[in-house]
Amino acid sequence: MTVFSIEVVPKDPLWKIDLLTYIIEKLGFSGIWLSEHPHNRSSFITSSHLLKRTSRIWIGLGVINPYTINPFVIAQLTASLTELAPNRVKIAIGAGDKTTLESIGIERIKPLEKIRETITIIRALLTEKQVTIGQAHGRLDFNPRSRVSIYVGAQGPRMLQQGGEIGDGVLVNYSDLEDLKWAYGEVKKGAERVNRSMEDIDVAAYLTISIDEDLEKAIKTATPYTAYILCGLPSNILEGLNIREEEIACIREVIRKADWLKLYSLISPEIVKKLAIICRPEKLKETIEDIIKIGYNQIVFGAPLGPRILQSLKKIREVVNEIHRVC
Amino acid sequence: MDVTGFIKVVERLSIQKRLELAEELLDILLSSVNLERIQDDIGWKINEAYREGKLSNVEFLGEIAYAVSIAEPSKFRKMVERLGSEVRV
Repeated sequence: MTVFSIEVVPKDPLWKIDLLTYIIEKLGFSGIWLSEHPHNRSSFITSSHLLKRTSRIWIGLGVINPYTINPFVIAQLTASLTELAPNRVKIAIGAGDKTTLESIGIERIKPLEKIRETITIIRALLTEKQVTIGQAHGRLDFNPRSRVSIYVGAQGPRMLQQGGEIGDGVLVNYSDLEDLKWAYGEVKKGAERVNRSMEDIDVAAYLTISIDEDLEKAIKTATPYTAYILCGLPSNILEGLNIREEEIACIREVIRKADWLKLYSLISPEIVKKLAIICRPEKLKETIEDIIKIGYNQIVFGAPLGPRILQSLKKIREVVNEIHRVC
Repeated sequence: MDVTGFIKVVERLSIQKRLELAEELLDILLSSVNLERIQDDIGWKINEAYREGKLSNVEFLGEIAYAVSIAEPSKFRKMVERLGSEVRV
């Protein structure tokens, strides 16, 4: 059965994140993905609080970036979280967006290799409690209290394929149906390469969603989120969107200066609609069913969700209930 | 109408109407991008009151109205104008 989760972005105060997570758990969703970004609150610190304040839902941390947090430390933090809430912790590892990394002085070198090595280290530390890779050796002097699923956060073809090869799951960061079909195919290629069944991989569509009766408001709410997505897209997708590298450079500059108002003149509503699911609530069911038909096991309803977050969450829950009834 | 005036109106509302108002205010607050303007202790009071099911409580409505008036002043103004015309202060 399809799993439904919600993305929570820890850019807001903890009292809000805490309340939102409480509401999400009460509404019956399976889990939350707590996003990780150097500009926001730490997902590890935030999740350690949230895991103690919730009782049922799992919390996924992602996408954790091994360029900003050492893989041995990611394993240590993750194992510590399992002690707070066994069987309720997941992590996703990804190479992150180049712009943000460069802005904090980090060069993103060989992302494919970096992600593969990171997952190898974390998996070994969480299961065998020690690992030696090249010159690096690490160990945990305590037992993780439960198994942790490790997802790969991916957008580009080679990373999607690698996700199919080595991930317990893959977080596919697209919202357009054609892009999602293509991405699923890439994950499948990787899985087939190592003789894995797609049934063994939790392929999650990590959607950017903004729903409202007023579509103009929904687009406005989603625009800043699509700016970040644009900056991380691989070149083949950017070409498909007819976006030139100079335009991306402008958007990067606006993000760097946090000049949000200027974004609205740089990103057209058509681009927002291509990168995010913008619709009236009554249309959402059809869209989600189409995504499930591709083969996705998990639907992550990603931020912003809509101009009115509580209304959006309730509408999404209604849609999920209807889909479950049909199943 | 300021927050004090708002409370006076709220006191005259039915429980059902207060609940609807509280949900609306909470939605505006949780959707705001200006939450850094609100002191954490006020945020936590709202959080705990919601968890304890005290939405129709006048004290909760006062806290949340104050928070919304800081984070989203124009939305708060529009709401009290609408409320004022509905209740006829």
